[in-house]
Amino acid sequence: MKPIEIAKYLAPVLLAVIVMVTCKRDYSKPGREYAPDMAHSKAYETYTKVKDNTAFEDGYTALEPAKGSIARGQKVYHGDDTPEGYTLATASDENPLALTDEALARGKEVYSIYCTPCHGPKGDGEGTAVLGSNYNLAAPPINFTAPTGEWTSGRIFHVINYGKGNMGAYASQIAYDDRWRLVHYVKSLNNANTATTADGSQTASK
Amino acid sequence: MVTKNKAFRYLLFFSAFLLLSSAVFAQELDGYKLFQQNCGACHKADADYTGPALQPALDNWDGDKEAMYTWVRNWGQAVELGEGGDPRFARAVEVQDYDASAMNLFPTLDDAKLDAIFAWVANPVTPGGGVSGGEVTAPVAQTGINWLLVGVLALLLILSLILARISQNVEKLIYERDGDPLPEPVSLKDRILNKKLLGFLSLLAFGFLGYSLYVNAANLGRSQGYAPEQPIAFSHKLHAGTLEINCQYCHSSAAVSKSASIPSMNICMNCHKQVEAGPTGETQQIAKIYEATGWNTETLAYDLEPGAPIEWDRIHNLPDHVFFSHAQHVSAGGIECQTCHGPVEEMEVLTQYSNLSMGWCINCHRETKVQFEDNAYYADTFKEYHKNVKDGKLDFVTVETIGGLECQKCHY
Repeated sequence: MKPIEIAKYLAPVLLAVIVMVTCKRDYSKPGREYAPDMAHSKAYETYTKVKDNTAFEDGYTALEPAKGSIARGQKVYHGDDTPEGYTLATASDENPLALTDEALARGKEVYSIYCTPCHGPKGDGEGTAVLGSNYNLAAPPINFTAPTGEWTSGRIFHVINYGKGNMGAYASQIAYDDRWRLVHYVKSLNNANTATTADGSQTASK
Repeated sequence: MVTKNKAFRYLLFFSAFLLLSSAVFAQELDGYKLFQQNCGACHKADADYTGPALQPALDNWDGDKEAMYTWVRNWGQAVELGEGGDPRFARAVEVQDYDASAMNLFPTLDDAKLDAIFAWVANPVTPGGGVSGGEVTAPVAQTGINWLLVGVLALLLILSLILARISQNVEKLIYERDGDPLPEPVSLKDRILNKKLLGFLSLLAFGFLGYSLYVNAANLGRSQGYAPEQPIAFSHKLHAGTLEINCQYCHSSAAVSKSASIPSMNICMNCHKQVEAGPTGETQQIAKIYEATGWNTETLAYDLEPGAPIEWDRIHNLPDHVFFSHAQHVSAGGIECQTCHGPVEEMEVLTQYSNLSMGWCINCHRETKVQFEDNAYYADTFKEYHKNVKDGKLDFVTVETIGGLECQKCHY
């Protein structure tokens, strides 16, 4: 076969390859837009940084809540983030929500989202994030299935609110009432993984 | 005659190559994606989930594809046929009441799509690498090129070259046998300027350009596949995949708000107060959190001046004239995050998975059945529908039935 013959057959191959390869999109860019006026909000959206936004400092629209403001549907926790507040909460705070199956179910749901990375799906301190990373923690997460006699509801609630030791504060992620439901669930993890509901019946919590 | 034949052959060869190569690159219409879109919310290939594991299911149906098509598209019909005595659907009768939550209907999945899904289930390899849920992780070519097809293509190429050569020789022999003089070899220029070839090529080019015009115009402003480099090289694969941290741990307002929320730095610090290095001992990325929050790794306190907040690049954007609420979909609808956002737990760099087009929204609203069980929102809001479903008057209620296609629901 003459070189010209080979070239003849190679030409379409090359053409096809060039077409396939050069039409690649740059995925680090969002791509072209049609009618951007309709797509982009004139109003400030939650997380957009608005250029020339003089209403807010630095142009950021996501701001911290004003001091002393309470979000709708939320309640204020009276406990202080101090050792005294902790002692006081441990000694005196009671769970304002009744221990019901619904409360436990919601508590479990909250637990499975916010607590399993460290305390584990079973509450035994074998957290998914602790096991998944081979990171050596300064102190292992608390095992809820071990006896928790001196763990009053008030103490658990205070720790969820403000954190303790290596644990961070969860008040910004978990709604006030859900925190108390979570307290119910955490307490239920003790005592052979069963909990007693208000009417005295035993509910197995998986 | 010879000229025409050759031109035709040449043309055929070119179009075959273009078609085949597009087939190689277009392999993305794969079972994995279809599985994620249609089945992944309830099924896993190798493990029980909301629905049963699908690999054993494939075995249990003895590979009777026709029967499986019927089951997937409309399991109720399969059960009816089974109860009517059709031996192929005995399995349908057997499994119909395995679980309280009934399976969706998928009338839009044609044979080819279902075959692709079945094939993926039999060999569940995810494009990002790794077998879903399994122990073994087999690295997969990132480009998604199907090497089998490439091999077949190469073979065809070689074969066609050989055949061309043979036919050329045979022609020559025929001329020699008949004693005819050999025709003048047609020049390359004449071949290319052949009218029929040019006409056909123009037609092909016109079709191709028209098609890409349509595709690209439809994709304007959709930014599917957008995967920008973020200010911190945060890996969802590590956090949501390996460490199994729930999506809502960080995106904690997804269940209660319109916005799923970009986590604030204090949420990072819940863990990174302790975890100062990544899995490879790399500290540079995590140091950016400390810089932004003013965390001092020496004194373990926030006693430094906080830096500028991290400006994450928003990936999923809906136009201003579309209303979308995460709370509605997550809390009321009970939709898995992955249904829209794809397998985030496998993404090293977060990518926009769905095209977020209106057609995409509408399709889902048409196909998704309203889940009334354990769902105060729908069971209380649509009492009549719930009652009819309970009484068996209606088989199911889709989002469309309760007004999910009303213009004003999303555009106002």
